Amino acid sequence: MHKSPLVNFVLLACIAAAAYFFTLYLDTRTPPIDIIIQPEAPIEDIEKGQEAPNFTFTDTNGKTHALRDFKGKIIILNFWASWCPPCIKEFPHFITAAKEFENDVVFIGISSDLNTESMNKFLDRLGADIKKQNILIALDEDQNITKNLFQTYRLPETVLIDVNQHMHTKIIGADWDYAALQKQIRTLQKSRDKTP
Amino acid sequence: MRLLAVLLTLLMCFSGLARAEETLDMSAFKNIPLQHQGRLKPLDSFAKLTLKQLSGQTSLKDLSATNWLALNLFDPQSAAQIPVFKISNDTLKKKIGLPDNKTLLSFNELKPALDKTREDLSALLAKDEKNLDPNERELLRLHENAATLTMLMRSFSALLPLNIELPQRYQKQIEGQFTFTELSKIEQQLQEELNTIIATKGRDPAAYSPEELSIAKTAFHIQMLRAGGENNNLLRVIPSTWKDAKEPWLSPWEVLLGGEGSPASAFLLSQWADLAKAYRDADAQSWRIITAEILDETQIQSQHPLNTKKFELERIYTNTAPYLWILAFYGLGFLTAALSIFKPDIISNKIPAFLALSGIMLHTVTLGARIYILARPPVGTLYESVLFVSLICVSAAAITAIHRKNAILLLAGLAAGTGLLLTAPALAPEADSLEVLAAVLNTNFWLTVHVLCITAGYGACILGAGLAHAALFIRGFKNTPVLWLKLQQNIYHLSLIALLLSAAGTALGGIWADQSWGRFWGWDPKENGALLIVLWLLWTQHGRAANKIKPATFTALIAALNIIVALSWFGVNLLSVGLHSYGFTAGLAGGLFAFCAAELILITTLYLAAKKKELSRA
Amino acid sequence: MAQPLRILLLRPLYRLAEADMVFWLMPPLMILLTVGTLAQRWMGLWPAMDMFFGSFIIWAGPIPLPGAYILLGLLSLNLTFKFLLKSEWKWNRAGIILSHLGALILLIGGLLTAMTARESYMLIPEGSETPYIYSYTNRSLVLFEGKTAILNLPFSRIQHADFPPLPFEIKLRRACENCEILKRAETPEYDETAPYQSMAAFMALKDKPLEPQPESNLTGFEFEISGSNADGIYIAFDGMPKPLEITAEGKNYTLIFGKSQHRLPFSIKLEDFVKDSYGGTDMARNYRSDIILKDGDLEWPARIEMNKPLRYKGYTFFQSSFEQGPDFEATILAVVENKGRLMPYIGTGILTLGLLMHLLVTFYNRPKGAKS
Repeated sequence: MHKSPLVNFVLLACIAAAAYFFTLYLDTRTPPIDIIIQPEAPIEDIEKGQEAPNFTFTDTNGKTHALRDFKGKIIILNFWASWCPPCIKEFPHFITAAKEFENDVVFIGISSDLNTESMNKFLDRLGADIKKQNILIALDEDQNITKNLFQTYRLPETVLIDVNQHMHTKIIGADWDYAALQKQIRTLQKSRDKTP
Repeated sequence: MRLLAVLLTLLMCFSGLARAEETLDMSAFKNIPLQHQGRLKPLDSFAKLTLKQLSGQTSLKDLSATNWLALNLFDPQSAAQIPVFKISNDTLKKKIGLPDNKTLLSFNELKPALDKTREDLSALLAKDEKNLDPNERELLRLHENAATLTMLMRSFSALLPLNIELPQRYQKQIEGQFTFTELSKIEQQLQEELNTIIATKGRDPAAYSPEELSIAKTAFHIQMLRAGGENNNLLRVIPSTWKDAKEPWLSPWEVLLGGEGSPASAFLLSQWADLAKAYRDADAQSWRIITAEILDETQIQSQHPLNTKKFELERIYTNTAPYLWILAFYGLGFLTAALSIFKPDIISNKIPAFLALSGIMLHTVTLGARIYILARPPVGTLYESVLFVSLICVSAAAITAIHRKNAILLLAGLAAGTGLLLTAPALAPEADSLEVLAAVLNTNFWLTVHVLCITAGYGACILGAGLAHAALFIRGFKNTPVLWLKLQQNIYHLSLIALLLSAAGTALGGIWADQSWGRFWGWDPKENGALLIVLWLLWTQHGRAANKIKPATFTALIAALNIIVALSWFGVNLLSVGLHSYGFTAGLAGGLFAFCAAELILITTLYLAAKKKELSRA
Repeated sequence: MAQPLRILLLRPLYRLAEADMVFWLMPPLMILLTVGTLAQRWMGLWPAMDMFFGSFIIWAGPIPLPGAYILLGLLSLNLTFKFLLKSEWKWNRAGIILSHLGALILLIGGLLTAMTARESYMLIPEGSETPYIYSYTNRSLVLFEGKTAILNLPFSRIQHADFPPLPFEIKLRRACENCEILKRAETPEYDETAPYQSMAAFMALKDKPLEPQPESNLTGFEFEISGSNADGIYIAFDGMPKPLEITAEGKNYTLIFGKSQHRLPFSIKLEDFVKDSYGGTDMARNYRSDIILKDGDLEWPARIEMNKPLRYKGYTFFQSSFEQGPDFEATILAVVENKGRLMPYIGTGILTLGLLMHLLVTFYNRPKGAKS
């Protein structure tokens, strides 16, 4: 009874002081050096999508191609129709991309137009811009590619296919800007360069 | 276009079937995964939950939940005749003109009443839910359930054969039976022709030639089908294959209208279309093969590997109703334990011990299955915590009873366990749906540490209270002073354990709160409830130590822990303020009040009896 | 002489250290807890908390009843003196002493928190950076002369018309902690000839009951300025669209009223806010903010998510809420400063250890006779 008040008082004071100083220490501590150094953003590892199914189509020049013919190229596979206003809105972006990345990108536009005339009427308006090697437009008359194979019911829909013919991303609708497309294509270029 | 709607009373334009097929093998179909309420589960669980939501039961008279689901998906026209809606409110039935001699009503029977009340609906929805009277609430629920069923019936409306006569020109283009998928290919063409017709002949269909009318009707059908698919996101059976898709799983209509289609989804949906055909043709062999194929294909397409064992387990779990068995074990154990104590010559005390241990084993396995299925501790909801606490009570009682060779402990534990399990169904208003948790509760570490600790504390309290009841009874009506002393000690020890668990649990809860939103103590109702138990225990302990509370009073106060725990555990949920009120409350208040009143009377009676005996002895 | 005095001084302290103190204190504490909890349902969370758990005395009509501060204070005294005067360390008593010490530390922590804790919040839109935190409860008036702030006046002083000397004179006409905005011309006391200025010309403020969340209150006041170039009646309120500009004695003054802000010694930039939902539902699974913390020349990335706060320089940042628009996302972080924040951890540890020891000691020491 004689000793305990002092002992316990000291004990209590020690705990309080320890807690207080530890709090102060925590408050002034700066983060360890290793997390201060910002690591450079790593090149995004590309998740491999599913392999695109092969199909054949006949372009506006009457030439028949298969998707597999374009192995080694980045493919923009666009489903569109001239009667679909958002399709028409985004269409020029693809043409620009096909020009900018002429050596790497092939643009394939599969049209759900009712007939060749209505499709060509729209294409004619674009003029010489689309007369490029890497721009291929085809009419999907019975809509087998569009609906049966790719299950595309909401035009426009666009699939980006990498050099190994794996489907990388799908762009739904026309609500995107050119910079985003550029970025996607560059990522696909990078992943191609990484894998010999 | 709107004018045409008058011409067509179109609810479903699918060709009907002569009969519903019951001979199909549902074993693979049951296991097909879908995403529902934030979790992947087998179709069977989904079917049971949905059926329970509509009808209050998990199977119909001659239709299992899975068979009912298949009927809705593949033969909606027949499904609309199956009585499935339960309306418990007779006044409402009368008010909206429904027959009141039937317990369940079919969609077709209900439809006129729904159409009649549709206009009141927006007014009801605008009201605050609290201000709705029971009639209005029921009406709202009815409309919601009807919407759910409609969604279900339209899940595959893009894949089912349609009963529409095409304009002659198109009959060559599309031959035989056709579905929305084929029809949509001519949609644009029809639309353009219709525009020409409207431009030349105006909007009145009376002026149209039969061919023109047929074109208008077909175009309208397509629009109706599409509109019916809009926002239909109930049956998410298609895994999305696009890596940055908004949702990992999609319903068929979401795939089509949301632009999420892919070669993979085209393949899977074609399988579903084949399945629909097999169902409608009652082709048992194709059905069996295709269900197995869909199961495989879905697993292949899912971006994350599916744990099929989990599905199998969930199916067993939802089909066996293990809690009834556990309840039976505990209940029988309680009865035999009571008999073996008071009439030891009739029943050996090995029987209740055996029953209790069997119950505990089954209970542990069941809770284990729950943990495995949900991948979280079994204490996320009020219902779950009751299941957990009852296990704690009985197993703690069994262990100490064996250790201290005291059958009364087992009796108290079994009584507590049985009582708790009996209240459990009242706490799970819908079927036990194995829910996911809200963000703030979703941390396994804190759930484990804090909630397990607290609920284990509840368990210790309830066990102690049960034992205290028994002790008071023995003190009052039996002349066994040695047993009384022994029980005194057991009760004291249990109250210490209860104090440890609830004090540590409460403080850990504070630390969780400090981690989550920076406040150790916020006087939140649930925190206060837990603190109340701690204070009650502290009060009795210190009163006992300071000799202010005599043994009989101490026992009575520990017995009253039942009331304190009930108030803190369930009562707080009734207040529904603050962050912790995760439970279901309606109807609970009455039960809680009745329980507290009954306990108060019982404990007072036992206490007075014990006191009287003490006085007469002195 | 020394001995009796010491006894005289110590006796009440020994009395305070008795176990029956707890016996007497617990019932009122339990009643307070129950009533206070129930009151939260009817009075709203904050008023009930202030009345029952944040007060010394509760007035039940004319009768004063002890509030949480008095009861907990007595309990703390009891624990303190029990620990200092009546706790002699012995093995079989250690559990009890430790658990009491743990409880005492928890209570001290509570006191420290009540005295030092400050809760505020910060709202950061994606891509932007800010050093400012805002008070949930307090509003204040800031007066700038040119670009330098010359006055920061809390609303509590404005309410009492307690204005310091200023280059122009301010007279309070009305203050409301939670206001309703009315059309000026529709108010009963509308006076066509009065010199209403700026927003006051078409808006008027009216008192309205407080919101359950203090940050949702629309605090404001109406005042009259004289001695400036544009004398008249003005209003100022939370989130007013533009500051008031006043010229007096050839100098330009700007008046801003709103939630009191405080500048952190570092700043935070929001890189990305992510809300994860359970697949196919709107139910949130988790929220998180990826931020860059910038302190002087140093900067480093950090992540704040549900149940995983960021602690730095005495400030703790919690994921509290978010705002979302069509092409706009902002995170809301709760910011807490609390010098007593370690106490609960220490206290809980000691308390649990003590109870566990006591339990073991009790079991070990129980009369062997009762075993069979």
